[in-house]
Amino acid sequence: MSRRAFEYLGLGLLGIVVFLWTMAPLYNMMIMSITPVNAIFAGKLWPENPTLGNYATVFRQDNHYLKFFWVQLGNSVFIAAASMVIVLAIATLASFAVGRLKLRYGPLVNNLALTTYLIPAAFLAIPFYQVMGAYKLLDTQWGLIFAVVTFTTPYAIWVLRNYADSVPFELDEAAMVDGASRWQIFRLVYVPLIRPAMIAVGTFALLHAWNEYLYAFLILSHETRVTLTVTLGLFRSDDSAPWPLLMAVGIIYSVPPTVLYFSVRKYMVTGLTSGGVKD
Amino acid sequence: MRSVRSVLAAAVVAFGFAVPAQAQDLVIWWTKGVTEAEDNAFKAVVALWEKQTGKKADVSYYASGDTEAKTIPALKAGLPPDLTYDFSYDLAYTPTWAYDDLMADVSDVIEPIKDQIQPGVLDSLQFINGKTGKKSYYAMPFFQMSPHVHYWNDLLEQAGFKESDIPNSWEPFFDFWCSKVQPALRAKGNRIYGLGQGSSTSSNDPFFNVHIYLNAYGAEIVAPDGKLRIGEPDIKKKVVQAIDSYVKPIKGQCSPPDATNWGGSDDNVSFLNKKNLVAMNPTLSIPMSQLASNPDNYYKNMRTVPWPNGPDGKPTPTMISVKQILIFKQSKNIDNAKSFMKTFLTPANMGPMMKAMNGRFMPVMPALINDPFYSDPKDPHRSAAFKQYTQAVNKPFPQTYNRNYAKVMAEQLWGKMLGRIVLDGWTTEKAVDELAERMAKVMS
Amino acid sequence: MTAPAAAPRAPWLSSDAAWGLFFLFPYIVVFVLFVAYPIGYAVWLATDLKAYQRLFDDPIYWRTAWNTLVFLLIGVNLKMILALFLSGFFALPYLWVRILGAIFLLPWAVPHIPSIISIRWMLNSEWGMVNTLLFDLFRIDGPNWLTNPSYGLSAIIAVHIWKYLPFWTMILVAGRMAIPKDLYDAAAVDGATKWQRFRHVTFPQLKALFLTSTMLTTIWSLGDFNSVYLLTGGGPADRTNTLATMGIRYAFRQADFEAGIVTMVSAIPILIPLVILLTRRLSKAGGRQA
Repeated sequence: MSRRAFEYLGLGLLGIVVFLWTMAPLYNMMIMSITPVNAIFAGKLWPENPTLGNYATVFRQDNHYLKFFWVQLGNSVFIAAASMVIVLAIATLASFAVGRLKLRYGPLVNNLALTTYLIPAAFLAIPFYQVMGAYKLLDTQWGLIFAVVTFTTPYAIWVLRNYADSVPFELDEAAMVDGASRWQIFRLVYVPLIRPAMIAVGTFALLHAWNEYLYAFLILSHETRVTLTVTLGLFRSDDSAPWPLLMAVGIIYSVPPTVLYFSVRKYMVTGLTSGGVKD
Repeated sequence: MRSVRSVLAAAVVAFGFAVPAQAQDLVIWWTKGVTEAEDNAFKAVVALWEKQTGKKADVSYYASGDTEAKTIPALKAGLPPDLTYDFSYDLAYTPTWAYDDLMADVSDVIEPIKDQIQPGVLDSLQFINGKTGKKSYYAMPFFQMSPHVHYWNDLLEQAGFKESDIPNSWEPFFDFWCSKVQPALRAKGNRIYGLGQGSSTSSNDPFFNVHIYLNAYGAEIVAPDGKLRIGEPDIKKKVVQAIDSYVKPIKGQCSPPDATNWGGSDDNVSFLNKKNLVAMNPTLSIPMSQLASNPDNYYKNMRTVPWPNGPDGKPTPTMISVKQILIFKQSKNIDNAKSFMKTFLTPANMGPMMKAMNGRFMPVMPALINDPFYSDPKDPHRSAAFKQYTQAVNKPFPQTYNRNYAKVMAEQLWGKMLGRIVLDGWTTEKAVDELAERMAKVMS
Repeated sequence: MTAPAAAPRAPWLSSDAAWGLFFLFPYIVVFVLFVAYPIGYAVWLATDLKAYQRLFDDPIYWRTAWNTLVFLLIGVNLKMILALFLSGFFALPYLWVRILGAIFLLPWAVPHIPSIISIRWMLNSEWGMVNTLLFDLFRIDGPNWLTNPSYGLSAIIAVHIWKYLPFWTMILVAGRMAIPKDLYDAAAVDGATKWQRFRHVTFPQLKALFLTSTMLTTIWSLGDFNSVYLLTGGGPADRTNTLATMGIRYAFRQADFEAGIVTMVSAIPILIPLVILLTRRLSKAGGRQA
């Protein structure tokens, strides 16, 4: 065998290992979601009587854990969309101020924002809860939206600002000579040029809100107001929960972020890597 | 610029769409039942109260354990619900909260119906308030629970044994499953374990069961006058014996290895999937889960039996834990909460709710307990539980004698001590020494 | 509208500064309400010295601190070295590698709860898929993946890597793509071996990105609540907690908020130097302002 073929074989093996490592848990999720509810503990590689009935049960809300499936899915959509819009609005405005205006306090704002970005969200859960109580935002969807905004905006500002550095300043100056105000420059020059990065951070905020569990559990209470992640958590901790249904919900819940991610993947890579990174 | 305007427009629309929390007359945080019928029975009482008063109640349901995790920070933030119930309030929190003057005094709810409630239950609802120095009612009863023993009769027969082969004294009973039935089934290729002996810190079940073992060996760790006695040499010796007995199946590979990290439902799951032969569980939730879906399991294959006699040959006292419904001092609608509880705490309304739970728990009112529903011998599990409640000596948990014992549960000191033996390989003596020391510190 | 040069300056606020306040206003509101106030509140709670005593008296705390250290040192470094290695693989120009690259990112996009619980069930020592296969094939009881504390911590690290390795690999792939091609051409002229090319071209070019990424992920891994909570729940017997789950446990299970805050605060000796270093690096990388 030639050296080249040998290398290619090695790459192929590595590819197989990577594929199995990535897919095993997802495969397990999938087969559990098509296993009949009473046969869940067989530990088989393929269930004996696979069924799509679990999905039908979920869609028909035919189980008392899932009485509000559609409402809660709607809540997830609303909270994710609202978070995205607000993060984008605040971060775009702020990134313009920090990156485009010559401010004496610019670096300070930048560093403060970065500091928030560096505090693990789980570490602030305890005081954050109390503060939400003081603002009367507990058990409101706005409470959760602001939590997401708090933890994603600093990152969004940072990414947008770094991306904007690749946009030439000359355009601003030319507009200024033409008598444009700062607001006009923002609207007509800045926003159109940083749009790819806006798509990236918007998606990021959306995914973050969609997947948030700890804050959603703490802030939201009523069944009709919680997101679907909270219901997934309820399955986790309850006696005799129908686990195949949990997995069916989990698969359904994974589809939108996955589709979204793949459809904007191009922007994600440019946007996030020009700005850096997020775990 | 179009995009900016559309972003702003979307924000405005979004603001209108979000459902704000409405001001309610009564905010209830309730622990979800295992069946829809349970939830509906509670909803029926809520609807009745709403109709009677013309007021509106807002009920949120959580998994058991999660209701507490929601209430604890809410209480700290001064925003507790008006009414709440969960499984660990009585074991871990209420005595401390009552002492810290955080609970609403509910004497005006309890006093008028005192004679309708079992005396032992009433005792478990009174706590000392550290601020006033007085004892009063700071909790309302829902139902009582006590650990039960279940086994698979069909597997016992498969292994070639009969029910009359099962010994009725402490060590021989457990040894029978570990050294006779388990090996017989394993020889047939069944990867099964004898006992589901939980030792985790993420479930209340081991806490219950450990106390039964302590009873069997007569280890009275807290005296009725509230004195902590675990440090006394003769008591400590009995504790060591009880714990030795408890960990024996774990060390002897007679209990599923995962039992060291079982959550509240994992013991049910393991037993129901026939991964172990015997389960010890503080409610009848295991058989009840089979009643509708698999009557054969319920009526034929599964058994509920009394605890074996202690090593001294005397019947083992069991433990009773009364699940509590709480109102907090800072609750916004204390009067509405009490008004609801006056509707709730009547045999007419509680009876159907307890039955909707299939008799998973025992009621607190003699009028309800005497319903043949609980004692009918045609039902093998309910009638066995009824016998245990009415014939065994029932003891309260030590927090009834000493409020600080609740912290032992909150910190899961027993589970941590079992971990020392099972995971770290400590001797029982050393682990119990550490436990006694921690207990004295935590309870001081 | 006047040209900026001719604009009369306000005595106390330049027009840029005024506009700056206008653009920054929404963020300032968010920062004050939801960042400054909670942090201030946390600092106030953390002044309770008795809470430190309670914490240091608890044998579980020291175990937790040790776990956190192991989790960070092994988990983060293993993840980043694998990411560096795999970024070379995923930068290859074959079509199948690119398709695999897209699949490889799935764990990052899939929500935590179902995917981590799926792993938890696979690893269940009694009825999980892994041990059932072992029993069916070899008639042996497989290891107790989640209930032996050392295995449990290893499983947590594996889950963390499963979930977050794809993202960092993607970042490093992008970093490799940005390395000027002529550097490799020059190395090829010199007859460099693969290892030499990595050693003298790739790594020096990636070093800055690699270091920044490692520091960032160290901080975020410190706050990784889900990988622990959803996999082992901190058990058995609280042996696999990290500071993030322990703090939450103190506060929301044991009703001891001060101990919860103080648990988090005890990570500050690691956190603060990293944050200072990173803030410098990131704002420098960010261009003109700093």
